[in-house]
Amino acid sequence: MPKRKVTTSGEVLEKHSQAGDVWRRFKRNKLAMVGMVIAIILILIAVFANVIAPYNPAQVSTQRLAMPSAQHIMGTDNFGRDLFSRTVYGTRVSLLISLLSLVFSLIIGIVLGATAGFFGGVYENIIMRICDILMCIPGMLLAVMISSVLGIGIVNTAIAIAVSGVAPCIRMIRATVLQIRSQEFVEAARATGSRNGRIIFHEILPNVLSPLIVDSTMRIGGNILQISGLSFIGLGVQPPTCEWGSIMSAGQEFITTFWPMITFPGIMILLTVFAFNVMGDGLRDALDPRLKQ
Amino acid sequence: MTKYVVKRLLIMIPTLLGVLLIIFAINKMIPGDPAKLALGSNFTQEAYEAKRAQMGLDKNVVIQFFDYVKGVVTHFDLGTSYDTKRPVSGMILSRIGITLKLGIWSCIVTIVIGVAIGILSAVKKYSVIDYVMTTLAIIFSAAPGFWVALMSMMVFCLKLGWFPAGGMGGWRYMVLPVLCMALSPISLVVRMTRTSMLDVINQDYIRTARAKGVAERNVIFKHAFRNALIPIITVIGAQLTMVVGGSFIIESVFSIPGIGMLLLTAINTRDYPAIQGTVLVLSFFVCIINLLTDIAYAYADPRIKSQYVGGKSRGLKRKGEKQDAKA
Repeated sequence: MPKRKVTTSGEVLEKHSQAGDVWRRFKRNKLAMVGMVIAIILILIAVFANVIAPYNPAQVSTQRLAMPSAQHIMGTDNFGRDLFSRTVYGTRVSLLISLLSLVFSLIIGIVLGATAGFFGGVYENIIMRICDILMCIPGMLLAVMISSVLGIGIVNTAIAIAVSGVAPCIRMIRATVLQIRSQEFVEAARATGSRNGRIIFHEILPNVLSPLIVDSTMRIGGNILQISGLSFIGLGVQPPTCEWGSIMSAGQEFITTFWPMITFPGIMILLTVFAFNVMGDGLRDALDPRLKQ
Repeated sequence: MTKYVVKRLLIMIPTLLGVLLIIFAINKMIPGDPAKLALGSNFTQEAYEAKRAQMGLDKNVVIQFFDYVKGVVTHFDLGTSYDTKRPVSGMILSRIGITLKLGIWSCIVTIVIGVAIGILSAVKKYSVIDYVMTTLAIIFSAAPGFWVALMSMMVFCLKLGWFPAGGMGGWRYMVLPVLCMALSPISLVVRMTRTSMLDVINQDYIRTARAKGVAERNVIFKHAFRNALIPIITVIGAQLTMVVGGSFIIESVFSIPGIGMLLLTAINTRDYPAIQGTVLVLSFFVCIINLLTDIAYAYADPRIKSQYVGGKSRGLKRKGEKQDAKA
């Protein structure tokens, strides 16, 4: 039973929180709910990869390129490793890199975007011009270039992807901060003597949260596309670490005779990106009811 | 309009300089000595010193940057490939034709099919065709291009034998690469066109147009589509840059000898000058796409056009505005 409050005129007011409202609106969007369920399952797979995977993903055997069977439900790869186990562990690697690079780009994005929007002036101009230039180099190519310099590996890939996607993030945060900066409550905070740091962190950033949540959700999917792309062309993460893109890259050699190495990792990427994209769409509608009635 | 285009062209110069600066900065972060990388494994101390002087590595970093810019601008000098020991610019120029052909076709396919399906979806909203198209759009916008390329290769080339599995030749070689490159951009253009058209179709002036007996075709294309155009142009511009950025993976899957392939080979041999040269050239195309997008904005939005139309042509502008008001 939700808590109820009865006013003097006899009206019954249901107590509801903002988070509750958002959740109610989000729940109505079936596609977004499907996305959320898939995302949760994927996260569980990533966390419990060692429990779910029936074999050690690095265990080689003589059964090479075996078609899917009861024993190996996705078949085995060119070294006789169980593809299902590799795909399951690939979930862990992909989500980990994606989240890591999300965190990196959020840190840079929030610090630069919020200060640029808040302080303005020459400082803002310099940062925004750098963003303009960064956005002229296609994200994937920038990631390729940085990744080729930094070398392969989980952290290096995360950095490459974070840097290549940081410019839109800075822009978005700055634009939102600009809208909020001139509102009355910020002025009130300043009038009561709050310092800049307090205004940015306590007054402005909480209001940037909802576009940031939407952007981050979408970014997880986008990052995974980039990670798999990088690994596919020989950068990013390389064997023996399992990653969807690198499994497909290895499978390309056997494309004429053996389909599972390409099909299954691709379906996993598709599902992951789909899940986070539709969830992001749903969150956008739920967090900003003005956009969609 | 000329004034606007000229202004945009001038803005491109500092942007391209910035791109050069970023590529130069990344170049400086490469671990190892470039002179040693260029020489290979066996060399004498004298040869090493000579190479350093020849590459300008003994100079100040700022001067190095200006030399680099000067080289690129005056004679398109992108350095010498570590791998083939040939100038990178020549390697790029000999392959750029194929990439351009593929890229331009992908852009055309993206715009035409994306906008057409988007309009169809919006006009027949909540019909079977709308549901099918929007579902496909959501799915394909989540699919990695290279995976779609591999899958379609398995199905259409190897199983069904409809198209050749790689290389370059007649139109049959182009179909799959172009479609794979355009698929994910198309799906985003479809979604944006649909949303934007639906927003406009509910406006009062569309009802007015219908009420006064304008043919439905004219309502859709002259009244609704023109006004829905701005967000559509934005998303098309963004997606076309994605086509450029993603083309190299598709080229590698279909073994098309364009600059994407060059980039891939360069990545595998850690041939840094070739990597940077290709990225620079592709970024240049992105700048051109951005320029065309901005010009398209000016054509679609009379408010932007009017800022730059002055003098004699003002009368024309008024006429144009009246027509827009009528619409």
